Amino acid sequence: MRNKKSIFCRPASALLALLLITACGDRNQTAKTSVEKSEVTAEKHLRIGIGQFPGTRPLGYAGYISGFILRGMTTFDDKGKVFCTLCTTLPSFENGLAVLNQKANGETGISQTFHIHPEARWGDGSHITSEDFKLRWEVGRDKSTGHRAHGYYMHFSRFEIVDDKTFVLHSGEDGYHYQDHRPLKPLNARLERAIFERDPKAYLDNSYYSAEPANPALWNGPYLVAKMTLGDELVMERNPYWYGKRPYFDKITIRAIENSAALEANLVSGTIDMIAGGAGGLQTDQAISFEKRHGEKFNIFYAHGVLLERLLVNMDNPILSDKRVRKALLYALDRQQISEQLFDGKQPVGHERYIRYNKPVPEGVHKYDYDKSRAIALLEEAGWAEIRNGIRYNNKGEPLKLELGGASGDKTRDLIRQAIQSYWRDVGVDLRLTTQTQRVFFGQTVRKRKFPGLALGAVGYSPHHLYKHRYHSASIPSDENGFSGMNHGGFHNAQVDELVIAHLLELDAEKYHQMTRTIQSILTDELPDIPLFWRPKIHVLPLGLKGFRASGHITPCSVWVEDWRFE
Amino acid sequence: MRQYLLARSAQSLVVILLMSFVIYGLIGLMPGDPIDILASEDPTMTPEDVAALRALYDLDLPVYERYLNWLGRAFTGELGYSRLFGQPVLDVLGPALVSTLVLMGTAFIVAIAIAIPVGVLAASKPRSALDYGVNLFAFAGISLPSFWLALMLMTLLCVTLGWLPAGGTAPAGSGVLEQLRYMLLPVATIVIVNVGSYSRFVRASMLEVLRKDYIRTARAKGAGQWRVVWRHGLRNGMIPVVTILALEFGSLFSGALIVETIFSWPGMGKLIFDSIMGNDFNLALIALLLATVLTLLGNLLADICYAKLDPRIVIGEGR
Repeated sequence: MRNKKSIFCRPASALLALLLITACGDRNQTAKTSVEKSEVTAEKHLRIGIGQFPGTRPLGYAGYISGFILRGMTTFDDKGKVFCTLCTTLPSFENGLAVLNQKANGETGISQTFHIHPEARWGDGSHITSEDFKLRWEVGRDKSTGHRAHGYYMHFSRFEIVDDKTFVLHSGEDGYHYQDHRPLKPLNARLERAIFERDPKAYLDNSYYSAEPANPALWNGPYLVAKMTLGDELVMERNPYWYGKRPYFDKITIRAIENSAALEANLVSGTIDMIAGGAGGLQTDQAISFEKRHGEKFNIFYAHGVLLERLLVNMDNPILSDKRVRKALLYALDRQQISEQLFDGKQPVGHERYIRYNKPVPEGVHKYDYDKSRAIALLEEAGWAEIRNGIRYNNKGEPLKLELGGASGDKTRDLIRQAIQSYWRDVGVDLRLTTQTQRVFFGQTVRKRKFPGLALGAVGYSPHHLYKHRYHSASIPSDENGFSGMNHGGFHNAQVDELVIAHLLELDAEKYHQMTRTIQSILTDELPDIPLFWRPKIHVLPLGLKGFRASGHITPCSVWVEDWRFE
Repeated sequence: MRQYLLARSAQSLVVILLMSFVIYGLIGLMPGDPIDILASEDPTMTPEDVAALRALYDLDLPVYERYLNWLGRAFTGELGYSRLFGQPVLDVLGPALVSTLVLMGTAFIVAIAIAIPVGVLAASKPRSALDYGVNLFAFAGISLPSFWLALMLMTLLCVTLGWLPAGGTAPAGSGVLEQLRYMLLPVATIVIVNVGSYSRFVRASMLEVLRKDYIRTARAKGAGQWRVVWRHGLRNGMIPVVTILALEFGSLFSGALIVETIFSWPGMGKLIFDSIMGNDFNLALIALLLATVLTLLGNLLADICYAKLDPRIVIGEGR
């Protein structure tokens, strides 16, 4: 018996001992974690949690990560104005760096001269030259590479190198947004040109960005990639050759934590120092709940104005093709109440379809404050007068039945959809909710216009929004155009078609803004989609972090990482 | 034996080939492809651009033709690049596979090390307090959803007590103890969830064996309880357990999606999920095939184990 006991006891004791040792280690580690945290601050190491590991294509990280490591020619500031990130002076007609020229075909093109910052360098110390920008332009134009924003590069028909630090870009007809050159990021030609020329089709795969991402010569931002563990974390260290303001942090680690509860736990336990806003980060309701529990330990930063949550309307639906019904549906929704109840008012009601930086809603934009009786009157006017069992019917005996699709896994949107269902039921609309996986819903159902009624999604607006892609009838995705357009609702309006093209090519600022207002007025009257709320990007920051700025639009907050400091 | 192994290997090869076609076909049926994604992100793309890119990447060909092209390239060792990570598929899979093997292997060993003695003990004293206690814990483990358990453990040990890191892997160059700290929570979650079912298998199998004639004979010959259970019973009782464990073998390499996601463990489960959701055709295909190959291998090993455990089983001979 003694033997038997000891045989059982030994492994059990060993296991217990191991757990105790680890736990004791943990106790030390608790101390270490806290100490480490202060040391981390002393050593200037910032650990950021994000919801999704950034995709590494095409040639460098997009969005948030690129702000740290790869700067392009221009970007928007937090007020929506274009500014130089790699050039010394932004080309404009006023300073003479942008000039109009008459082309052979009668078109009026624009030539823009860029002076690259004299001290702009790659992470290995070599200068960023015109050749580096030219390579990006060539790669972007080459269809076989599969490079994103192909249309942007195709827009520039000629790239003229003046000297190592000066080049001229010649475009066709252009409009007010001609200074927006966000996709124009240099590619180190010394490393990359030979790879591109050897096999353009395989270039993205063979590039150093794929094969050797920690090569300093690939990056030009305030930080360089030091280590990358795919799907897990990215470690960045200060770029010794960064020509701008010296960033405060020596090292920044970005760690992907895809579960929001785990993201919170990591933050509270000190494993990470902050949570970045954007895809996969905290949603508004989660942030509000987090703020209530831990608001005194963290600074919750709501960056407003980028994403409009809206109901996409399939204009081919016979019920929804009637403007009166669309208006009635919007009047029937108490969006302010939904915003207050679900989001503490932190997702403001959206009326217009562009970013207005907290200025009042401009004249001409139609507002639809909650008005149930007006909604009912409009529905009755549209022929939905008879009510049976709480549902409206038309004179043909057809019920007012609609379907609202959504993507699975988004708790906030599920709540919004349920609230909409309840409000519309109140005016006699039978709304059925359907759910598909994100990939199927956005990748197929919305993109190929297979949603029968309404679809809940968001649209991101840039400061110089090009309405053509979303509201021109030629942008309605179809089999014929390879489903390449973004007018997923199928909206068509001759006046809007004409206006959005003119808007695209308007250079005069005043006329451009007037056109924007007219387009807004028509869109808010026609309601090709039903606007709901402006969804903020929510950043959870440590209390001591100062100098943090977030645009609320497409420019990532990391573009101002040099200003971040810990006090 | 050699003949048997050769026959099984040939059989496995056919299964792998068939599975490669099935997986390729299923992934091909999934909505969207890389060109769809490009087109949806770039409103300036013309229909001609879309058509040209489809032709360039063979996406305009029927699935079987694309499969044959892929197979031809795969036989030459060219498995393609990951669309999500922009690196050769094997370069992406390698570290994830190692990471998963460390996590799942440790959890597997610990779970077995706990489940076998616990299951045997419960079976040797059926309907005793010990048996009821083991059953209670086993059912609790089986019933607990792994995501809930993981979050509870994380809240308790990381947030409230601050003993352990809340996720990720130990920084490069860390000592064994530091690496253990990072592993402890994900391993504990998997062990708690698995040990219940494993111990139930062992218990059921042992109960069956302990009723056999030869066990009664052994007892009649004066063999003690210890010898009867551990020497005579366990060996035969392990045969059905080995089958279950063999089926689990594949999961050692395919990872645990929920645990990996919650603890940010960069393993195969998360990678397979991301590759499928992110339309990373090459990566998803190879990762799923790898899981198939390893499950087949696990079953082959199980067959060999049967023969080792029970001399009456002779593999490779016709009846």
